[in-house]
Amino acid sequence: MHDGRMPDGLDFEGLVSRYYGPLYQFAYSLAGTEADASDLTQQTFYIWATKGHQLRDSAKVKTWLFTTLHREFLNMRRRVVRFPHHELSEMDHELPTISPAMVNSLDAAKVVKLLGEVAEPYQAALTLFYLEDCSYKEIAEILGIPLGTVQSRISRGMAQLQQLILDTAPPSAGTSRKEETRG
Amino acid sequence: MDSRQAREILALYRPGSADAADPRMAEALDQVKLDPELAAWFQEHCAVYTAIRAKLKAVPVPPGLKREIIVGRADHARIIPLPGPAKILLAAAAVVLLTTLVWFTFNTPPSENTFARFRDRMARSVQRSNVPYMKMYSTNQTDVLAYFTANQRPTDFALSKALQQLPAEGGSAFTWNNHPVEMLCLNAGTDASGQRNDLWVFVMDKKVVPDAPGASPQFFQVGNLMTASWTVGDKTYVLAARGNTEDLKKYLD
Repeated sequence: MHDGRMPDGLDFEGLVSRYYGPLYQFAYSLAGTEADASDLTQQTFYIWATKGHQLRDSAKVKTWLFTTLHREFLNMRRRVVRFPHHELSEMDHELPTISPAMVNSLDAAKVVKLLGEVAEPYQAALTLFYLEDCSYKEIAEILGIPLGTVQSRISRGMAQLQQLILDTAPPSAGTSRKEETRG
Repeated sequence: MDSRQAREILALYRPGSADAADPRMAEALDQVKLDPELAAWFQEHCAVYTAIRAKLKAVPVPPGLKREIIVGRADHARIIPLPGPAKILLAAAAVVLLTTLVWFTFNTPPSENTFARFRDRMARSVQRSNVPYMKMYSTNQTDVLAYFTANQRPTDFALSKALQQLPAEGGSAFTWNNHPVEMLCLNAGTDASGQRNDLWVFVMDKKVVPDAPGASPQFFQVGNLMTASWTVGDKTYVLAARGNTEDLKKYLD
């Protein structure tokens, strides 16, 4: 059984305290339900408790945990449905211009729901982009994809999310700059 | 670098992060100082990023989650490692499991409430020994059934005589994907190695998992647990325990 003790003095409980919140929010953004997000978070720490000792570089704990959770999410989804492959044209990732007021007009649950409507290949990268203070290099490690692909997925995912917010936010929530410049 | 290039790069900029240390990002940030229109766009971009991040960060974390993780790990620490020959058997079982999983991957209907998902979730929660799942403790099955009644849950379970005769450990009424589940934990004594041999019975309305097995029990390994699943009347049952198919069959007659 892995003690889970880190060089900075963190034992298993300390590790859980530090990361269970961000891991849960990452899982919730991916899975969309409290039950699945809780299960994914618990499963991640369960795997840490049994296999975490194999990690040689303690600086990589955070990346390891997020990588494991993402892998478990993919395993869970594979059992249920095979995702259709989404391909977007180059034009699709041009950012629509939305205002902070539009975002603020929506509650957190709605924003998470819209994030869940973003094409699946972009969701994880986009979630890490917004939620975590991971560098692009760390996001690439977590998702196991090249750095350029991370940036491309974030750009496209961001464009989709902002378009969804634009379509969902009430008109009174503010106008986009495109509309302002048209006027 | 012109303003259009700077905007493309800065679209990936996150205020308050270490992104500014990136040389291309730093060059684009310099461009902001020279171009008022770009500066206005950049200010709005940062505000939108901050607003979306704040919304996602506002997702509440279940209050009991941390405790479940820590308690689950403590219980797992008491699991006795398997001896060598058992590992070989486990490897053989893994091959069978892999084959079955491949079959399921290509044959499972695209629904959230698949039976396989329900069974796996229940078995995995036991495997992690999530004690908080046990909401009441009693060695008497009658007490556990009374607890279900008190929680407006059914008690007309069609359990075998072998299961009915076992002393209880406790029970829990909870939900899975917003559907009620009753869990009955039974004490089957200890095995040859002296390890406690608990049985977990999960009961779910069969309408929730229409692809569940029929009256004849189906056996499936989930992690280090064997499961037997069947349906009687309007209820689907999952029995999970350490052991093999034959061990579980003893409780189904």
